[in-house]
Amino acid sequence: MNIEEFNTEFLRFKDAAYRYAVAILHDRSAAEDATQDLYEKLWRRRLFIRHARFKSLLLIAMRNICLDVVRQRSRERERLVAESHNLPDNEDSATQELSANDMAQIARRLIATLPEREAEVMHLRDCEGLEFSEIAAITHQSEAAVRMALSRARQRVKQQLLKRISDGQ
Amino acid sequence: MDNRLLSELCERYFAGATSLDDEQVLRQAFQRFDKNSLDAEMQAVKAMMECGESLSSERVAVTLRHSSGLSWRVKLATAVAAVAIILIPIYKLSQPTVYGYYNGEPITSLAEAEARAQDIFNNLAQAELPQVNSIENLFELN
Repeated sequence: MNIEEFNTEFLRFKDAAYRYAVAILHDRSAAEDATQDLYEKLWRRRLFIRHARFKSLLLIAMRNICLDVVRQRSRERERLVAESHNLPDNEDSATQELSANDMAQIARRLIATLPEREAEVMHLRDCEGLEFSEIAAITHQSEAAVRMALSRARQRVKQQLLKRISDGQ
Repeated sequence: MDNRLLSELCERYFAGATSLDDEQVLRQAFQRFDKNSLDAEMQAVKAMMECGESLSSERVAVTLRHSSGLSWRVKLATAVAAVAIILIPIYKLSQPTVYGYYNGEPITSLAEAEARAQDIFNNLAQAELPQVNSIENLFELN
């Protein structure tokens, strides 16, 4: 892949890679850095990259970068997760009926509190619209494991959302 | 789509058993249904899908810049090699040609080298060789 082709393909899928980074890192600034890092790392290997499955390659590379960041910043991440755990609870005090937009916002915060593996599977499915086989290839799991993780994630978010719906009404 | 089918799809959604097409059907159905006609589980699915849609609209600006990818050691080695490739031929060309050696000293002049060579041939020609006039002389020599 030459420089022009590489840049074109990268610009096409960079947002998906960025969103994936946000889902793993829970930090937009770090995700932006990771996306820039991703570009540099892949640029060096552009001659060996082919067009086929470029998006999957991009997401796999982004996952590896993010997991490195997560390892380095595990303590900080624990604090962020703890904070995001607290956010929905603050809204429990609201007695008025929840709007659909509020529900989506709460769902977003709840997804951020999911275990890492479940959160990334849910992100790849619900945000990026990937097939189970693609998610399995990116996350190095079997399709059955992906389905299981997705089911668990959705059930967890569902239970919290139902609780808030019953509290809000 | 009736409520029963919608409810079934929602159950499959929570079980992670819906295809991408099923999920698209759910999205379209939620757009048509009034919020008040949705039960709590359906509202939860709708919220999760809206969350996914809002997240998928996020964009990032990336500068397409990159480093050369070479470490400073590689850069230094490359620079040294480039200088050597340029300077070694220049040094070699700037040195006089050595045509030979006389008494251990290099001869760098072509004319001198030719003169020395001529001297050597002349000396060889004038060297005193044993005179052999007859068979007897030959035996006497031995």
